[in-house]
Amino acid sequence: MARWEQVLDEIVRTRRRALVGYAYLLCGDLREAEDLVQEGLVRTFRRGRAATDFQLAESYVRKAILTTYLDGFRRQRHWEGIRHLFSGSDETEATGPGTPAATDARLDVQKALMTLAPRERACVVLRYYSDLTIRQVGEQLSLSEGTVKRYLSDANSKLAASLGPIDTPSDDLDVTPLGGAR
Amino acid sequence: MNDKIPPSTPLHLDAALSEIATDASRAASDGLTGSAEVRRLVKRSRRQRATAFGSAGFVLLGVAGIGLSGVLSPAPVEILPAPPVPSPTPEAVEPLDGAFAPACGEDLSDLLATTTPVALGPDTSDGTGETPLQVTNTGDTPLTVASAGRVAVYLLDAEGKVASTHVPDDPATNEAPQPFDLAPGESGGLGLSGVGPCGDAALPAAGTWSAIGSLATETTPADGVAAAGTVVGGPWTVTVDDQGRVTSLDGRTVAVPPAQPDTPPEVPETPEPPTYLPGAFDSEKATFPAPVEWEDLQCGSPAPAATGDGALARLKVAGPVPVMSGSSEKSVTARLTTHAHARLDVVDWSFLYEYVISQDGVIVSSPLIATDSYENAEMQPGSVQDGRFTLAATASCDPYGTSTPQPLPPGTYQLHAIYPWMIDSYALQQTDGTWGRTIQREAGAEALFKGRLVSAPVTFTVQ
Repeated sequence: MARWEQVLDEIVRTRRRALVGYAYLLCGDLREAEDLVQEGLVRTFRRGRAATDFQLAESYVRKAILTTYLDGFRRQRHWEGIRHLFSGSDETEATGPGTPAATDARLDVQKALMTLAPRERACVVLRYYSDLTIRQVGEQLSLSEGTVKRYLSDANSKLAASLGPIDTPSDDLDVTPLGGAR
Repeated sequence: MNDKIPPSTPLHLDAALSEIATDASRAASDGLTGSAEVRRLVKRSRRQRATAFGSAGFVLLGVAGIGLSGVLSPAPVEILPAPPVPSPTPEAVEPLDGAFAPACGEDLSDLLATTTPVALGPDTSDGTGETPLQVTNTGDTPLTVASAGRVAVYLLDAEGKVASTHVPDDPATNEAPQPFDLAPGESGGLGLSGVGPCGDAALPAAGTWSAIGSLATETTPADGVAAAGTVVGGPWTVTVDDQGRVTSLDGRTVAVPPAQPDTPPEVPETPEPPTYLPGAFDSEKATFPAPVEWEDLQCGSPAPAATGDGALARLKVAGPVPVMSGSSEKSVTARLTTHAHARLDVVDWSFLYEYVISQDGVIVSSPLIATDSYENAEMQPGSVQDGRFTLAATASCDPYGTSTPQPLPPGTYQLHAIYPWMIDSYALQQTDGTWGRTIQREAGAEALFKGRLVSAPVTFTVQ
């Protein structure tokens, strides 16, 4: 077995579920998340780059997942399946994997995440889930630090509007919770 | 909308996100099937894009008697640096699955030439220039190799990107495919197709180029089963004239047809067009059927009707569908065949062969996924593109992927292969044998056709 196959197997065996969780935060759909992970794996391993280093390969897969997710929104020929992310109807209400065990609060967060634009959502995930610095988020998304802050500020305003005050782990945001019933 | 009063306690977003991701991780499938699929896709892609031209991997071309010397002139084509090659012994490179129609600008610098069971290279025994290339049996057993007899040539620029289109032979003038019965080491001679411009650009400049070639084949071992695939060869040094005709290949003269200066190279004239071409079109504009939408294919909807050829291509389930047991998975092949009188530019969904299952006229499983494509594909008249999907004997009726599919009860079901179909441009061959103008999607507009192809149903059993 070639080295890249060993690394691929190792990633799938030990990191795939975590990657699906990461992708799910971005796209909000489990099946699409698994699709994003598969696409990220193929993109990473097909050209041989980073294919023989486990940690490097995983970072490339995460970047490929992010790029694939954002590219999907940039392109006009977007296929069906994500439309539900932007719908507020009952049938498309945000429900996630493991719904029976999901808490109301978590479902509220998922629903609020779906109100964010793709780049806002990506910034939120990278900043608060992947725990990247503002600069690192900018590097991942090819954005300036100022732009990242603006996306995060906008995102947090939207989230706060439906979730109440947000306790962010840093003070680099200017969030003004709107509060109140809607 | 949200009618709840937001809590006064600040929400710890990082913790909430971690909880959501963890739950999603737990709900994810085990990935064992996915791992095999990733491996297959990577290997397939690596066959196309593995080690670079000029690398140790190009020892491969020695099989076909090709060297790199002299490949890159007069506008020198950079020999790209080779990525690490894990083994000094190059791996066997099999023909590509399905059709191979690289788009203009596509990076082919990593493309590998096919080495087994056949290879494509210059026909050094040909003194007439009629068969400048040959396909050689590189195995140890006799083979029968069927093809259209002409190799599609693609010019490459200095970066290894495609700089020309393939000018398909006019089906009306094509000779019947000529199979070669090849003993080990034996070769059969092949002709060349011309090259055309990229989009609205001019023809590639006359002169010397680096080029690769592809040949759609069906290879049958003496005691085996026929296998379709595209054999890739090159790179070669070719000279093209101002008509897009290849006049030499690796220093050997290629016999060229008479020039037809008023004929666009992508629309080769038939010397004597037939007065009526059955199956061709009376208009250069297609009348498309109502598209099959995503909503039409959800559980509870009526079983979809086969889309036939109305959208300029036909989808069918190729081969038998195995007997399934509850929750089992089997790989099934579907075949996409382009209309014999249409040339298409479509969004490439070759990785997304899908299906729905119906019973008693109603869809009972619809595991259609949401994704996007970043590539286009040129579909030549009559071209065939095979793809596989994993048929699961489960009722997947949750378009948002939030629940676990349940096993299908034992019984008889209908399988309908599904393929996303988005046409960006097309040209239709008219009944008089000529080709209509290319109808293109306008910038920013929707695809000319956007729907899904549906195969005729195939009955299968769940035990």
